[in-house]
Amino acid sequence: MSEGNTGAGIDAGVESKPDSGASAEAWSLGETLASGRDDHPPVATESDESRTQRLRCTADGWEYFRIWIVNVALTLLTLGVYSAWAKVRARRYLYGHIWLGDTSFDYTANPVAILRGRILVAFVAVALWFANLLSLWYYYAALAVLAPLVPWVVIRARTFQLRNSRYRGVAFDFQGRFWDAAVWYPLMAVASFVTFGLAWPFRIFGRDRFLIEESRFGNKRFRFIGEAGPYYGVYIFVWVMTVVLFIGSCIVLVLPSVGSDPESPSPTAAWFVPVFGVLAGLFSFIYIRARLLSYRWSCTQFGDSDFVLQLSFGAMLWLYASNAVLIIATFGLFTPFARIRVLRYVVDQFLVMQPLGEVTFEAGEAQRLGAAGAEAAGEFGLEIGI
Amino acid sequence: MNGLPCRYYDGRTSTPREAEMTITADGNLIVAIDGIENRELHSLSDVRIPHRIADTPRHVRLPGGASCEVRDNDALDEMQVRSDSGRQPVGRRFERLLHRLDSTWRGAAAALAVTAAILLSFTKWGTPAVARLVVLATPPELEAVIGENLMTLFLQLDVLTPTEVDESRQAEILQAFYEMKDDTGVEGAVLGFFSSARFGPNAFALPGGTVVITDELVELAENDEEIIAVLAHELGHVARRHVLRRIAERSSMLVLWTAFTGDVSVAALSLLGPDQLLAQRYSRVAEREADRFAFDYLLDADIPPTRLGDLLQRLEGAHGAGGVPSWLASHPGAEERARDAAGAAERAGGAEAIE
Ligand SMILES: [Zn+2]
Repeated sequence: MSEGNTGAGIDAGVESKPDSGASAEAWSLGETLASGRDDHPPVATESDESRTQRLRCTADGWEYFRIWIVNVALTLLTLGVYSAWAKVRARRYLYGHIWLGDTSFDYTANPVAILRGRILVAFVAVALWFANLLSLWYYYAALAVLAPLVPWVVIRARTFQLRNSRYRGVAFDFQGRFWDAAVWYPLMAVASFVTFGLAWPFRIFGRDRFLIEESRFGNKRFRFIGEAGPYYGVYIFVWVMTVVLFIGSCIVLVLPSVGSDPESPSPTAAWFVPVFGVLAGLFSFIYIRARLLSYRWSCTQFGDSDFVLQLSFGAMLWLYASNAVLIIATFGLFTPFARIRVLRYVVDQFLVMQPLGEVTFEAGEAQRLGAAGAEAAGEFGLEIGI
Repeated sequence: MNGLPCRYYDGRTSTPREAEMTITADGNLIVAIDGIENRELHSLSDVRIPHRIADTPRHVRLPGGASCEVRDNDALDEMQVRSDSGRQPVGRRFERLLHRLDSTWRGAAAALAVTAAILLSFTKWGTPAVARLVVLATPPELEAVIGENLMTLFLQLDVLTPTEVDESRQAEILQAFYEMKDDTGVEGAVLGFFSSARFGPNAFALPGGTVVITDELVELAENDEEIIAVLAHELGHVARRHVLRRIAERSSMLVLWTAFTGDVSVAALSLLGPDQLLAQRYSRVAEREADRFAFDYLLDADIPPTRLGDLLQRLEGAHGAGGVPSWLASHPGAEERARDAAGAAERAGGAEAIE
């Protein structure tokens, strides 16, 4: 039945003893991180008062594939209505197979709320599509009407996601305010556009800080100690590399093929620009993702706990590229395996440094007020990728 | 009492407490926390037991915010069955079915078969039907607006630039085009002359009925009959509203594949293969339809249908698109179409001889 899953029982091993092999490896990673890299803040130095735990992912590709294909079949049979239930089922499987210590996470969203949210989003999308068909001006007008709603949607989506995530019976929460969200979502995005992208890294930095600092687990908030500099570092590296590689490969590949006749376009130039564009887009996307995800988590703190995440660009590149090839080759059937491969890699790199001894978290106010408050927040299960 | 071991969380702190859970025959759930002394009793109707998913731990939600984490899924299932005592509610039966489907290979294979059947039959019959419906439901005004937007885009991108064909030549071709419109009864078609370095010698139809012919094509044609033949072909696309249908087909495929993979970007990725093949199949069908429309008109107008084939073969030479097998080419090979044209001419000739 679930052959790949024997380790996830009640005896899930605790990898928290400071003298275990895994922890020793974790510590050495932590140390290289603290000493060798300037774009990471110094992590908690080794002390007797803390221990390192590794997040573990026990999700199995084949098992997830079966859940996924049943979800797909039922979603198609019900003309999409089942998709909300499918989402919760898939999420519950994934959350339930991410372990910190001897306990896994729990996803508690109500599918009906997600369905309501999806109907709302579908309605807006169809309206926008129509506006776009009619004229670009209607489209811009519709966007202008929707723009003030963006901060609200961002807050609702993140609140929904966090309130429905639990660990040891304690829920996460989000308490971002409208105007903070308004600054980082529509306004700074516009500012980045006006400044030809120069403000973009700052916008990403501010957005991360906003999303993390307003997040809570129980009654305590997360803290973000990152700075804008490293964000600029990552983006400037990508920009400079793109320009350098473009000029370099132009000289090597295109120039020799340009004939004496300046009127006739060189045959290499025709394919060079699109191919370079696709490759550069892919590489920068993965590089930025790997570096910023690592930095973001390594700069996040919770109470006396620290997190360290160090993703390697090479490993991510291999994962994404091979996933893309396999998804195309299997007409999409590889999708669930691709998801598990990325999840397993990221989760397995994730270290949590906690003070020794039993840590007790207290539930937040929203949760203590009882189910009614939490349910009301979940009326519209808006989901967006943030 | 033989309870099911679980971990009890009171919902106020993260401290787990060892507990045992029992479902009684009279529809209650009893949780014994830290031994028998500390017991909670809830009516089953207030308790939420989530569906089983593989062997993922289940969190039974108790009223008041507390929860019990159960890891022995089989034992919990058994306990529920015992308490149901024969009469299984619909929800429970559905849950059982779901678990049977996604925990066994036979279930997954059935789901895969259903998915494949739906996807295949939708691409074979669904997409064209949806596209036909969309085409029927789209008012001509909206179609015209889509066409205008496309034209604006072409002009902004300098893909199309002002024509250099002299006015008297334009007037000649326009005259032939209007005659063709009247004879075939295609309302609302408009002919536009543009120069296009990007498209080269070419002619195409936009949604809403605008037919564009490039200067390069006017130059390439050896006589007016060839130009009329190409315009008749494009008018065929207009008459059958092919471009709108194509847009509708591709959008409905993307919607379907998004439902399949659950993600628009993944859908676009996994559609790369099938979409290309399908789009080409559809467009070949459309080209044939447009060709047939053109042959009918040309025969009526006493122009040999082979004119279309002649020009197409020269076009192929100009674009250098030789050697592509016909099942891969978006247009059926010029040679094949020239043969069709010859066939049409022959059949017409044969009919005359019999008369
Ligand atoms: Zn055509």
